[in-house]
Amino acid sequence: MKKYIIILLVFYLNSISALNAENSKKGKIDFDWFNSEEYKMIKKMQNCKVQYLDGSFGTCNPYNSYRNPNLR
Amino acid sequence: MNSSKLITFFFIFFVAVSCTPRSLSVAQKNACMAPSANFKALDAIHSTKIHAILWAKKFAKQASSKELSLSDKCRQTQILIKALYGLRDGESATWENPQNNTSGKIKILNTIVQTGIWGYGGCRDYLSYIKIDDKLETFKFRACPKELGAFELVDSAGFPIPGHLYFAGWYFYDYRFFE
Repeated sequence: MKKYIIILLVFYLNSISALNAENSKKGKIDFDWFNSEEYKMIKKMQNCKVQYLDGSFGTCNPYNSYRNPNLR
Repeated sequence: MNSSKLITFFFIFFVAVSCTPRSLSVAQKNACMAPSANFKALDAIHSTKIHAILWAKKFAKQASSKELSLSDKCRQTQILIKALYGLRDGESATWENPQNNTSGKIKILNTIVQTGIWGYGGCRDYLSYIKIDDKLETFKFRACPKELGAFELVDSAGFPIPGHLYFAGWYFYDYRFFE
């Protein structure tokens, strides 16, 4: 039984290492993504908060203003 | 536990690990989360919330299908953010990578202006195209600002549908549920 477990474990570890090697090749970005305006926008919008007059909080997404203005 | 049960357990474990959308976490780490570029993995996760059985089929499908490289996912995300925050209705943005024989396009269809208390105010409907080796896939999404109220929107049949993703100030919903 131990033999089976060892064989399966070797297969599993081998497949994981192969996948990781493949992922590290694929994991490189071939253009300057992290300095792009869009990347900066994502980071800003992901965490940005504004406080409304009623005390509630919302994100900085400017399209919030397309909601019923009477609600604000 | 006898040996056959143990082997079966290892086999199931191996299959489950193989089906996990590994590339999604890499895309997430690099903020390249355009829903169309990660659709199969996101859809498989989404299905676990609304289907009893279908999710297993979708996990298997996403594990075996060809997908964009990380760089191309980032390109698709770049034009998506550009389009959602910067383009007017009817306008579109594109990218092309001849090295991988891939390309993508985002077209903003319309922006909803809310008139009553309830509605999809601030939501933007858009089409997303991804081409890999001359095979074109088209997706349609509704992106909504975060404060719409809840992560779930009511679909055309009256059922609450959770979004596929929250990313960069928007909730993304598969438009098929609202047709």
